[in-house]
Amino acid sequence: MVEYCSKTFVQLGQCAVVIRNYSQSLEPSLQFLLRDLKSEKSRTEIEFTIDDGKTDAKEYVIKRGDSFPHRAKTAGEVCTYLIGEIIYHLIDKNEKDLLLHAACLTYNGMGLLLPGVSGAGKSTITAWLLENGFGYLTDEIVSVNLGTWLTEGLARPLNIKLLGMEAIRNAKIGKLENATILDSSISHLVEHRAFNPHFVRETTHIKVIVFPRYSATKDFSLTEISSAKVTLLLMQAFVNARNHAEHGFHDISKFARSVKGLELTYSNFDELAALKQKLLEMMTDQRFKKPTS
Amino acid sequence: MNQLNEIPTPASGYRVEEMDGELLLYHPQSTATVYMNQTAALVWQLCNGDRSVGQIISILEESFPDLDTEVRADVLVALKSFSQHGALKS
Repeated sequence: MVEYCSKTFVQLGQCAVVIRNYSQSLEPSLQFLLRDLKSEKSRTEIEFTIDDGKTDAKEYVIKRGDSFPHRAKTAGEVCTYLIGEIIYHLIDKNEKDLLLHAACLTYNGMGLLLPGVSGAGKSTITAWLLENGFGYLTDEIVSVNLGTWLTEGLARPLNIKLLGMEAIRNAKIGKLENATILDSSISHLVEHRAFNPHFVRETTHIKVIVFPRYSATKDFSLTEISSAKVTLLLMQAFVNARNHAEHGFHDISKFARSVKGLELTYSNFDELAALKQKLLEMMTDQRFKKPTS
Repeated sequence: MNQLNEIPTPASGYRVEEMDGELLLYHPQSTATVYMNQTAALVWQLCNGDRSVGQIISILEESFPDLDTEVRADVLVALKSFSQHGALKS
């Protein structure tokens, strides 16, 4: 009997994981999830395996090394769980790069960062910006190289919460009718090409950082903020701080000095036109201001 | 920290980053980050462990005579905030 097995490496910054899949039925969903994340083989410390369950009940079993297995009934549940685990392990041991919980897009080759906690609207704004001509790096996590200050993103499908998806459908953003979408109980994994079909895997220098906050009850505001405020807010999005000397505070402040910062409060997509206009003004200067101490 | 004769003394262990007149204090052990706007940054820089609250208010009132009615309140608010963040020795 020939067993099915695929092997995919995913890397972000200095860390990588490998995913071995023994479930042929899951392979299309896994390829959808990992399509833009694949890397060449590299130093790998963490291995995930996915298998069809041995019981009669249809389920998938996901294991990390010898850890207790996680069971999921649908491809959407597998992919949502797996991407969370991949991200955790890419962060956990990384002690070289600045890893930030943030969406990242490009415009004319320059980078826009959108840090924020879950629910701040990163993926929803990302979808809107993609449809409005921005390029995609990630909706979740970036790695900033401390030598070159180049930023790369984990280009997973957009992970859009249920309410965000409803808003996107209502506003008719993207071409969702033919797009691949994997559903789970809390969110949808949506093909980013549904919002902008032109995808190039790239790295970028960050020019502008926008800290978004969705609020259905607050008025729209878009305010420039100081480098000190940018540092303060970036520290809250700095997910591998514990792996850096003095929690990377000086590196984050260096990074903050080299960018422009905005705080955004919004309640609907119509308000984002003002954000786009402001971003285009700020991102027309092609020069990269290298962080200095 | 409401008594004018009290002497606010910075807690040890904080790293200070000055950015365009504003300050960030970072404590590596507690991982606390304290943001100070320009007013609070001025107050912080006057907290040297020798000056009293009253002396800090006087210095700032002399430096900003147009704002003398606001200075006292601003200083007390800033000191309260430093204290709440653990940036002052208790």
